[in-house]
This record gives sequence, C-alpha cells and structure tokens, in this order.
Amino acid sequence: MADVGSGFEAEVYQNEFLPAGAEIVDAVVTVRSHVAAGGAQRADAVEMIVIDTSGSMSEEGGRKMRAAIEATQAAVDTIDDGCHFAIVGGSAGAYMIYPNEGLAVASDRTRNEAKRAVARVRPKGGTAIGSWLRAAAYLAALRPGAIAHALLLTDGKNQHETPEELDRQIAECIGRFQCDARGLGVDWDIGELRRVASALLGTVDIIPRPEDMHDEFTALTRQAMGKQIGSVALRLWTPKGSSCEFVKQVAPTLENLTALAQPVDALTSDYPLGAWAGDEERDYHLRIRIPVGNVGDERLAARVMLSIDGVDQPPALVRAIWTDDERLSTRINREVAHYTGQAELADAIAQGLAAREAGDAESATIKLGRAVQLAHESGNDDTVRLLQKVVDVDDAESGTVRLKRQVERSDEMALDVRSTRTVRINKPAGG
Amino acid sequence: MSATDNESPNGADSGDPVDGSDVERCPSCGEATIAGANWCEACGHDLSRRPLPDCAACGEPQVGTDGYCQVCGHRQPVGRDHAVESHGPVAAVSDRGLRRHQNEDAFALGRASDGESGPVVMVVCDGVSTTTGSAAASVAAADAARDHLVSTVDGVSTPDGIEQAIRNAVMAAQAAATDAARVGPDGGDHSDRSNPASSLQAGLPSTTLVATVTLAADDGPVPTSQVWVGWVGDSRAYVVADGETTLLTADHQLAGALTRWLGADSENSTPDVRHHEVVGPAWLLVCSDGLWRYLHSATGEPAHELLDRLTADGAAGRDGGLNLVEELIRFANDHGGHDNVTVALFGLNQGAVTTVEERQDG
Ligand SMILES: [Zn+2]
Ligand SMILES: [Zn+2]
Repeated sequence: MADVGSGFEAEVYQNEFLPAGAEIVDAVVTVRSHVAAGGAQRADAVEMIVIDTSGSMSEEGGRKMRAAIEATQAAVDTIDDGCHFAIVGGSAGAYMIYPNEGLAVASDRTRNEAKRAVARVRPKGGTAIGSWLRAAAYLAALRPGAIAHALLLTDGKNQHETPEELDRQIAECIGRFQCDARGLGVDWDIGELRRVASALLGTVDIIPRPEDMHDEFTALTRQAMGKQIGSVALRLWTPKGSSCEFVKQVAPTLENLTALAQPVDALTSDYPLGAWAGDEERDYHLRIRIPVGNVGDERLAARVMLSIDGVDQPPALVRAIWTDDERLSTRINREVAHYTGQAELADAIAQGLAAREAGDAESATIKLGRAVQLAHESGNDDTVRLLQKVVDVDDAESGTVRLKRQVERSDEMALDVRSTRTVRINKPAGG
Repeated sequence: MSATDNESPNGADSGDPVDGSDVERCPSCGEATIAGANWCEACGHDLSRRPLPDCAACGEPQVGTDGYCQVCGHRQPVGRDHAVESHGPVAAVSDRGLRRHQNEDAFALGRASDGESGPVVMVVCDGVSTTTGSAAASVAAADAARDHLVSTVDGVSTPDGIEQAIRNAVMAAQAAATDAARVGPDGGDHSDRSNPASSLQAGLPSTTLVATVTLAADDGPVPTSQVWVGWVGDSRAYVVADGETTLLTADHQLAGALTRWLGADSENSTPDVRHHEVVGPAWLLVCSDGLWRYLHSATGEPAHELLDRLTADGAAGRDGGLNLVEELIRFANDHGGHDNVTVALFGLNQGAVTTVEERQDG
C-alpha cells in the first residue's frame, strides 16, 4: 500500500497575516487523491445492502417493496467480481437475505443467487435500525482491513429501540464500516439517519418516490466500488498551548469532524476521513486558537498531514504571522469566506425550517430569505431550487421571500436533508 | 572579496566549523554522513533520530526540518533574517527588523578585479513589502546589478563609461526583478514554504535599488576616491565624515509613494546617476529607508548620537566597518525597527582633510 499514499496532496488556503493580539487562525485545506485507475492494488472490499422489510414496506399496494427488491437487484449487478457482499433484511431485528450466513464473493453465480433471494422477501414486522447496524458491523468484521460499506434503506422511524440504544449501536460501529443512509418517502426521521451517516462517515438523503430507488442504489454501489484507499486520516499537529476549535469537512458536504478526533500524542490528533476513490477532492475548514505572538513573529498554527493506512504524508503548513500592517491582516481569504458562507447557509435553512415548524412565520421568512440570498450569491443553484419549493422568491439578491402556503412534505425534507450540500468556490479556469 | 562571490550571505554565528568544514558526522561512528540521509552509510546508525536544534523561542530541542519548532510552532530565524558580509573596508548587514515577518531587503558586494585597488561595487535593494515575491525580486536585482558592474567597470577609465555601466547594470537588475515575477511569489526566498496560501498577491514583485562604484585614486597628494552612485526609488547613499553627512541621492518619491522602482509593473525604472569626488577619510554609507528614516529627527537634523558613533570610533576609513554596521542596525531597531533595515559601509581614503564635491561630467 506504500505508494498509494503518494497519490495524495493537501493544499492550504488562508490569510496567514493576523492583527496584533489575534489568536484565531482559519484555513481551508483541499485534499486531493489521484491514484491512476488500476495503478494501485485495490484493497479488499465488503459491500452490504441493508434494506427495510418492515410491514410498512407493503403499503402502496406493495409498490415500495417491489421497487426496493428491484433496486437491490440492480445494486447487486453493480458489485465487482471478487468483492465480498451480503444482503441484510431489517425489521424489528436483522436477518440474512443472502447469503445464508457470512459474506459471499461476487461472481455471476452469487449475484444471480442473491437476486433470486431478495425477490422472495415479504415485508413484515417493525423497525429497529440499531440491530441492522449491528448485523452490518458483524459482517464487516469478517474481513478485517477491507474497505467496508453499507447502503442502508428505511421507510420509517426507529420504533423498537430507544434513541439511547440506537446511539449505542452507532457508536459500536464507528470505524468498522461506512454507511450511506437513505429514507424512502416521508415517514422516516431525518435526525436518526443523519446520526447514523455522520458517525459512519457517509451521506444521508431522501428517496421521495419508490421508482427513484433504482438509480440511487446503483449510483451508491458504483461509488462504493470506486473506493481504492481505505482508512485515510487527517493528522493535525497544533502547537503547545493551542486548541482546535473545529475541523469540518466543507465540501462536498458539511460534516463536523471535531468530535471524531483521536489523540495521537499531546499535540497531534487524527480525524478519520474514511475511504477514498482514486480521484477525489474534498475541502476541510480548520479553526485553531493559538497563543498570541508578537508583531513580526511567525508561528506554525498547524501541520496538516494525511495518514494513509497509518503512513504519514508530507505536511501542509498553516501559518500565523502577526503584523501591524492592516493591508495584510484585513485581507479576506476567498476560500475561508466562501465556506463560512456555506455553513451559514446550512444554519439558516435549519433555523428557518425549525421556525416554520414552530409556526413562527416571521423568523422563518427572515432565515429562509437569508438562505436564498446566500445560496444565490455563492452559486449554490441546487439549494436555490430546493428553497424555491418552500418559499416564493421575490428577489434573490436581497433575500426577499414569502413562505409558500402549500409545501410538499418531501420537498421540505429534501431541503432539510440536503441543506449541508455545498458548492466549491469558482476556481479560475484551468485550475 | 572576490569579484565572482555569488554565495548568499549567511548568519553571523553559524557556530565553529569542525575540521574547517561543516560536514555532518554520524553521532555513533563519526564518519561523514550524506546530506539528508536517514541512515549512516558506515555503521547503519539511524540518523533520523539525530538531536534537533533548540527553539529560539521556547528553548525546546525540537526544531523540525521545516524550520518551525515542533512544540511551540515558532519560525526559527533563517539566514536572511540577519545577513552579514564583510571584506576588509567593506561591510554590509541586512536585518529583518522587529515588525516585519520577513526580510525583503537585499545587498550585494563586489570588487571588479582581484587586486586591492579595483573598483568597489555596493548594491542595496529594498523589496516593496505590499507585493508578494518582492523578497525574491530584491535579491535578483541586487545580484544582477552587482554581477554586471564587477564584470564591466574594471578598466573603464572615463566617467561616462562608468555612468553607462551603472545604467546598464540597472537595466540588468530591472530584467532580473521582472523575471522574479515570472518565477512566482515563492520563487526565491521561500523554499521552506510550499504554501499556496499566498492567494494574497497584491501586485507584482518590485524593489528599489541603489548602486555605488568607487575608484580609489591613491597616487595624488591626498587620498581621493571617485564615487558614482545610481539609484531608482528611495534607497540612499551618504558620505559621512567629520560629523557631517552628505546625501548623494534624491529619493524618487512623491507624497510617500515611490515614483520609480524596478519590477514588471514599473513605468519608470531609469536611474539617476551622479559622480562625486571624496577627498580624505570618510564612510560611504548605502542603506534602505529602514535606516535613514531614523537618521533624521523631526527637524530634519541628523541624529547626533549616530554620527558620533560613526566618526568617534577612530579615523574614518579604517578596517572594521562591520561593528559600525551592526551598531547602525541596532540603532534602527532601538528606534522601533518598523521596517527591514540594510546598511552597507565602505571606509574611503586615509588622510587628514575630507571634502565631498559633486563632479559635473561630460
Ligand atoms: Zn555511523
Ligand atoms: Zn519552540
């Protein structure tokens, strides 16, 4: 695996100049992987498809279950030869759909057997997502060191477990596999799936209609098959006396990683970044509080290293230079400002939807108006479109909006769950 | 002083070289090691664990290879923070000062022939700190001007010839400063900073320049020197003798803004060139504004304490100018050290009577 790491690089964007007395250093770090296809030995992979087979899946005349079966079959067809895989059914407990136990090795024969097995599934029973996760953790542990990924589908809220039980199960799974969680329809709980996906370094999204499942399952499985490098960590050194205010992934989505820190030594912590494809690019926003220096001093605020399967890459440097030259210290770094704006956008949507839910139309209008303004300014067109299903936009530039009277529940949920999707800053052409 | 001495000046105390060389030796077997090697070729000792230097700020022996302390993060002083060069009667120091994070000043010294009597060349450049890459531009310009002068002024006997050599040297410096812009903001000085964080570029690298060429005429009854000075911008040359300073240059600036400079975006990089005859012992002082802004008090009078230091230290013109240069640097830093400060000093003529006279050539 040694030269897999050489395909990673980190770049720092910041204004390193601070006014006298300042102690906060902000930086955006772009991490890029570029491993040529087939150039690196791909790690062992485990793909798990965990589908809700609870009684509610029989609603709509069985349309939901039929679509889920068909989507799972399409996903199975996407699994590469040699990859270990399993299909797990979830209701009040978890059970194996295919194979009968353990993991299968993907081939034409096993894929066909799996497709036949999933076609026989009949919906029944309740929903206990924690038990589904426990089954996935058990399966992932059968291939230590493999890149393990689960696609988890539910159409309902967690019923047969307390929130504490679910959180305990999630905690047990951290670091064992990554999980993309999907909610079908509008009767599931965004908070529950968001907790699963955040802790397990995956994404959460709504699948509004059963017929959308096919494409979503295929895309997620294909994406999982593209991961070549497992166990990447952002290793952060900060000087003595400093504290890390936050480490956030800011592109492609907002994810606060601060709480996932694992101390390496007194000054160094690892933040897990999960598995990477050979040509990915993600941005991170760091904020460090460091001891103040004198004007003219230069201090390193952070060394940012990528640790690939435990091997450190050369560091990128975040610096702090104290100056009394205001022309330098007042310069705004574009990247930091952009992602600060994207975080504010996500907050404005969350607060606006919460106010709307609470019947506070005035606050909701102000917050969602601000969201429209920020999304418009930053070129986040997808978010503008999602907002337009919840508010009528009179003037995007000033953020003048009116709340819609009739809003589809799925549109509201889509806005909520996708509020953390960011756009990258407009880079100069060719960049 | 070698005419081709092109090595960048390094810090004053780099420690006592062992065996007259600074080859690193294996701490286990004493054999010379290969630079950058992690293992001793002779005994296999793990050199990556060699003791690290002490941090200038916190004292921990933890300075990493990237130049930053691995405990407190302090950037360690590097050569250019306090660059020193001294050759007989010529000495120069360039210092970061107290309030700037890096040194964008530069100097270059040279003698046009190996003999003791060849023309002496001194160049000082002051990189404009609002533009990234100016640290590289000032070094490039100073070296280019010096290199051009040492290779052309020897044997030139006419004042016009020397004036033309200075004009050509400034053209070479202008080309070098422009090239520094192409190399990029971190092209020269910042090899330790592979950081694209300088998305802060506020303009193209630019620099001032002042260059002197001094010819000693020691065959007359009184030791006399012919001094040519060419400049672009607000770096200056003075002659100091008998408690008097004579300014040889006139700043290219208007209301605090430079009207001429070197660099890719310069609209006027033409030097003014003047020729002076200095009779008797004197110091030729070439400096950046980091020094001269403190030389004059609010009333415009030269600071007496400074002149006293320059002249009371014994006969002007004798060897040992480096101590005076260091005192001048301290003087600037004691008065705030707001800017980088660079001073080059050349002791002219031994003798009794000093006169400075501008010569109208041609
Ligand atoms: Zn050895
Ligand atoms: Zn230190």
